[in-house]
Amino acid sequence: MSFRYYLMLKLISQINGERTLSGIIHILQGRQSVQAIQDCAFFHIQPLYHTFDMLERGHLLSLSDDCLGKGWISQLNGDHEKYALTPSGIDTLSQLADRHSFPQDLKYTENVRMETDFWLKLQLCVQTLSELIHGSHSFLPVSHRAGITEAVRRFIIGSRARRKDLACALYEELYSLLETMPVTEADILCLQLSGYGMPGLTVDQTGSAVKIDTYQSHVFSKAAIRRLLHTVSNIPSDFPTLARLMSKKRNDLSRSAEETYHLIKEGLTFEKLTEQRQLSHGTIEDHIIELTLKIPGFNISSFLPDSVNQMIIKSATRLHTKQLKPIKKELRDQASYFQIRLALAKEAVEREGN
Amino acid sequence: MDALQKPENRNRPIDQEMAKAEEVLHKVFGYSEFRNRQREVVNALLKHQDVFAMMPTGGGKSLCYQLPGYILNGLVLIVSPLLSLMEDQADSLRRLGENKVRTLNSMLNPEERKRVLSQLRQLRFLFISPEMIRQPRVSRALEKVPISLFVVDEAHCISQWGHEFRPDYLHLAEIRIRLGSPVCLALTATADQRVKKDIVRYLHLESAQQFLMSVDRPNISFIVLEAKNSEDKTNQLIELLGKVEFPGIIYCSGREWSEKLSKDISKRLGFRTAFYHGGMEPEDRRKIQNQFLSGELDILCCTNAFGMGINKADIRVVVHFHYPSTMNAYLQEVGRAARDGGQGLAVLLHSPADDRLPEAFIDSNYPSPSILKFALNQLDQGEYQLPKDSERFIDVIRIMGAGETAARFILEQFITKSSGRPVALLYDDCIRLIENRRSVQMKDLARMRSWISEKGCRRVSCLSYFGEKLETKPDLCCDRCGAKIGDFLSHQHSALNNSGIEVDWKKRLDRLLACEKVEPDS
Repeated sequence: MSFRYYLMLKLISQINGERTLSGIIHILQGRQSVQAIQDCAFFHIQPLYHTFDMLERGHLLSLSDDCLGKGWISQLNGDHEKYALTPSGIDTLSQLADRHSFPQDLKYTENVRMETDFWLKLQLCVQTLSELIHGSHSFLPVSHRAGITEAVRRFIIGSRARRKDLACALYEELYSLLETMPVTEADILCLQLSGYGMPGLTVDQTGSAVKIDTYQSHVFSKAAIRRLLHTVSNIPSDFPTLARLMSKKRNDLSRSAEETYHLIKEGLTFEKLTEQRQLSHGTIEDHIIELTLKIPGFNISSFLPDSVNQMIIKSATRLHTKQLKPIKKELRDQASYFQIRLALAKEAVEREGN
Repeated sequence: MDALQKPENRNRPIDQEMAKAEEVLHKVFGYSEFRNRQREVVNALLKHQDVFAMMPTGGGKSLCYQLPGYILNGLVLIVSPLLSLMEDQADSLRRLGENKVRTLNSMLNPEERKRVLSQLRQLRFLFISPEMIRQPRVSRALEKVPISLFVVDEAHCISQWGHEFRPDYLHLAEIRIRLGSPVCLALTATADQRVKKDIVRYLHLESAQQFLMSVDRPNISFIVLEAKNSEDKTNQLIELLGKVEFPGIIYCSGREWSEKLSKDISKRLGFRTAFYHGGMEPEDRRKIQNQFLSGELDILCCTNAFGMGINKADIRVVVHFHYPSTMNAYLQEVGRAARDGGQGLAVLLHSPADDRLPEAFIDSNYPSPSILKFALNQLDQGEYQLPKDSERFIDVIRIMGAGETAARFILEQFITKSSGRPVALLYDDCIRLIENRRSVQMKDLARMRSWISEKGCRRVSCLSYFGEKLETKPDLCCDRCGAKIGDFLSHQHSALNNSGIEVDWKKRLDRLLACEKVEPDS
């Protein structure tokens, strides 16, 4: 059961009191806010983004209370929502790190927006085919979400292959993918699949079935799904059946940010952007941060003169922080909050690239 | 001559229709004969008579509207109060191979909703929530298609004399008229005299045929166990489960309890257990449900979110770790046991501390005076455009600390009663109404409690509450009549099967998709 402590201590050590517990929870749940996405880059925890999308906030809160009670973490002065490791927490983390790590495959976050839907579709698809090829037409579908059932219906009806052949194709593709994974990941993934005479397990239940911490089973399950998606989207021709279950890959940008992006490419200034888009300064600023994080090589020089950029980075390095306020204070208001956010975002992206 | 010929002419096609009904019963549903009063209900509906039917849980209510759907022309419209119930009922039709069935509720996105409305003519069954059927766009679409049957499921929700009261049900009679007054079938499992009266009155069923069956389930025995506190209850529960037959359901008051009990049972007895509550992802709930239905679980610990529409015939024991606030709800939950006709056992564990819970639950149905005043003022000042802003209003009231039921209560009162009256008067009305309803619910609760402490026969006491007399007492009636846990001992426990789950992914995949991996030809 120690994996959960490894997870919590590792997160708190990475964030080191610069964000609240809620901020950490938003990252684990995969909030689509600019803040959460930016924080992942800042603190080098992208692989953990969206790993606990199904987990209730309350569970994570009681996990942190647990760590607090054991004396591994402590609240920062003046802000009881921010935590740092205590000396005994640092010790414990280094011991736990000998036994635990996060699975490699978590790093494939490029399809993070579609992983939940893809996994639900795959589960419903396997269940439906399994029931059909066993001659059963009466079963309780594992998912009821309208988009999911529609997609699977189209997938099965729209395929010209016979059901049996479709099931075999799916089997072959899944088999060759699972074979390349660590066994525990493959087991956890398959334990969740339902079908004829074989109801699937919840992720929590898979933990007790293979005798590991439920938090670990969540992480393994995510890792397995991400590897699956990563491989299929890279070589779709090798996995034609699974590729059909993937949604068409849209640009990862929000629709609104994308519109702003087009106007920036046309050369509009910041003021013109707010006018044309009829949006507040704050919203346009969020768009620019989002573009910086998601578009490789996005040019920010028109929003942030290079001299200001360097000043900010120097100050951040010196103060050893990613919090805006102290940086702004040290620069005696020579840079705006937006410029500081932008500079930090750019730096995080560049460091990631190296 | 006319008078003589008429019944003949009428009878013959009806007999043909009943013959057809028998055929559908065999071919579509796979039953060899009707159960209980199903034949009479179906017969009356095919004769275009309105029907009010009360059948105990597990009595085969759904078939009463499902079967006519295959004989009458037009859409069978089923008003159903709960999302999960609706989906379960739709699923049970899909399991029969029916694909002309859809559900219409607030969970659908606007596009899906539009699609369902545009294909009404191709459907055989449509399940709809009472809120949805009131929406102008929805009722206009329904007006354009022939409706063969207007079914009001869980009809007791129309009565305010109960904790399941749904104000939207009160508009159903008027909607039915707008839809051209199709034949109406009102269904419920348990209703006392007051509720029965309300159903007839509000649905205009004065001339309907009534088929009211006894709520008694002679094959279920009642036992109440007293305990000092939660710990003592848990111990008694474990001891009980170690002796009696599976599978079983444990009802408890909240999510935490369902998770805790599940853990305790599996740790101390090694049984296959799981928990089920409204806070879980829908897919996880469905998996647990499938595991329970297919016999992979011995014990399920759940809140009252589990059960409506669940059809598992061989449940042997239902335990209440916390008791519900009405006899009605209790009988509904207990009634899930032993639908296969075998022996069933209902155990209620009671400790003094439990007595606080139901009262808190009742209070959560109503706004506090200060919230009520604030909300009415806001509504009066036009802060919300109704019904468009209903959900926003409910959110605001919930943030202030009232429950969703309480928020809906205010909304309903304002919509139906405001029309130009001063808001202060409306406030007084609401306070009076709350007091009335609360006192009724407190009476129901008192009835439940007096049943728990009943010294005489529990079956007699329970039936008298529903205005019935006990005709024949079963052998294993209740603890007061001498039944003991020892009468329900299991013989199967030594052969407990705990190795059921296949973990190896290769074997699982093989079994699921039934394909052998073909090695490439060498």
